[in-house]
Amino acid sequence: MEVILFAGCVVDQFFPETGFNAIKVMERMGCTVRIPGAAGCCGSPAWQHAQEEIACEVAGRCVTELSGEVPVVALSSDCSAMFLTHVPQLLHNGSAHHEARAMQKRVHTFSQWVSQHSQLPMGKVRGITTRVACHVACCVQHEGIAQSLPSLLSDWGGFTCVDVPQFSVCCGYGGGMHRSNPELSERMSADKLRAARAEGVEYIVTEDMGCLMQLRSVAVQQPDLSWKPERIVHLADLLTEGW
Amino acid sequence: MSIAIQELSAEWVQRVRTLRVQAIDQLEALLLRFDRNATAAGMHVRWVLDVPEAVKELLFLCKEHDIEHILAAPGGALGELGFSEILRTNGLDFQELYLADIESAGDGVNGGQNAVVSLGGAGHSAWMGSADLLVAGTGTVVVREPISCLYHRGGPHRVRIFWAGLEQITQSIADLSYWWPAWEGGENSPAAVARAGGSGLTLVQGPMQRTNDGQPEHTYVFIIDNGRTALLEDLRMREMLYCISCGRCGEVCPTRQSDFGPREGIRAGVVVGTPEAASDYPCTRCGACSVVCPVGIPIHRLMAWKQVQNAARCDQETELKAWQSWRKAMLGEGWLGMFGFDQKVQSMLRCQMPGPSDLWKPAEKSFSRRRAMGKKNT
Ligand code: SF4
Repeated sequence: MEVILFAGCVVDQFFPETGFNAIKVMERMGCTVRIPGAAGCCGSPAWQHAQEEIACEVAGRCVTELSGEVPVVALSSDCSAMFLTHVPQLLHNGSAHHEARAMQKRVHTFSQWVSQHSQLPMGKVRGITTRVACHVACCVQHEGIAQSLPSLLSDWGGFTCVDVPQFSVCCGYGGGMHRSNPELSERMSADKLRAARAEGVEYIVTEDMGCLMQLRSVAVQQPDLSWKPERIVHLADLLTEGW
Repeated sequence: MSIAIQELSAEWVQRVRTLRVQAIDQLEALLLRFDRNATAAGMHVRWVLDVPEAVKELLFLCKEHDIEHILAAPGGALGELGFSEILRTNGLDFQELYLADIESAGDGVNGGQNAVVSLGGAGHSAWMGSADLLVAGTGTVVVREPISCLYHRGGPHRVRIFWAGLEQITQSIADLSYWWPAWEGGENSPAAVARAGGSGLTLVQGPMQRTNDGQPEHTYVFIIDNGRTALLEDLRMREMLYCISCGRCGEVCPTRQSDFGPREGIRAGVVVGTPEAASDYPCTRCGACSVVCPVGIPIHRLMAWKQVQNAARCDQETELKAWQSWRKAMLGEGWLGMFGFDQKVQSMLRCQMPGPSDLWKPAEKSFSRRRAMGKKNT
């Protein structure tokens, strides 16, 4: 089956290995992965920083480039949330709006796609019992997007998903808050890292590149939290570790 | 921080939303009807455009009625209009009293015929007795019930002034029964306080039953605009007029650090006249507030739009220039990684990334470029 992997600008420019790991997973599932040549950003960075007009243009370009019938898997959940909720609202006029709405039916989060299409229990096969905590991005939790990450990791991945108290609370990244109110934003992430540490979590797994960078940056800046940044990982990286 | 909060069914939310949407759709008609009925019942209805006008009215009435002692209920409209400060600077003798100690009696709100509210529980009687003016915000203004009355026991105030934002109107007192579940949340929770205040001060149209004990000589109702008409005209932001002030959004907001919650954050600069109005609410757009809103207001989206409006007002030339070059790169012929835009875009992206700027190392070759060049065999 042919699938478009929408890696997003952050993966493209800063985390290419995560992109290749996602391809590995999807190809193992029998997919033919296509990378869109001219659609690299969903517009989220501009939207997060209140640049509505620019976000509209960039998202509009993306929607045009990704048009067609082929399913689209967004590697970062903020890109998925853009396509699934914000873009049709931003492009509220004319054909672009309808194109964006049509596209909603074809867009999947990475965890959704993997859990729906794979018959291969990768983690179980590999006998992994790592204790992980799932960080499901707020844009998935509160926008009505199906949450597949926790069940994917436990049922399909064979990981021990630890129920960390208050772990569903926001990490403080969105809305450009790490810039406008860095202290508060850092405190929110530090609270999460501390809580996960207290529960003996070995990896924090997310599929949102914004949250991932936010948590990693706080882990680096606050060494007393004893969190190695490389233990805060994207789902694709965790699934393919050791492949 | 996130706390457990009672879940409300989708049908219930839809019901409350419909009631609020209907009320706002017919706002002018309802307000005019309330004005007519309340005037016929002996109340004085005043329409107040903004804070200076409200202050002028308040001071005028104090003078007109020889007011010496004032009982003022904090919160609501009083917070919005900054009255404590006004009373203080004008040397008026006043005491703030939370009306959460209200005892409700009679058939209560759901009965609708004789909503009786007794102000001032134990401990407040001394001041209640000596005050000659009561100033209070009101939770809701109800239009429909023709013979309901509201009177207050507990103090022989000669004059009462109630303040209501013009959106706080609803058709029938029975509508309020749909508000209650949203206001539950523990005895001392902000929601419970809001509930007590809201239920206690629900204004029902007259006629006043002047023979009842404790009725004032004059009851004034001030209907406040203070920016609400502007909200009404903004098709996105008018959602905020559906708000029933339950406080649930504030209870779940992970960034809230004071009484100033998401609701106030959105109204700031339009409606709320507090110092915080000038600053942006620290919103991460997580959406937890929208999930618990009993009226289904997409609060975090309104916050995002508000950020957009604020950003457009700010003169951040350098920032705008940077965004323009980012835009150019994004809309270039091919995706940035393949046409050498990497550096410019990388530095732009890095500005948006958390932590120190040297924390994130750009890849030597981007994912899309490597993939296109086939150098990495997956
Ligand atoms: S905006 Fe907040 S205070 Fe208003 S109804 Fe919704 S949750 Fe309640």
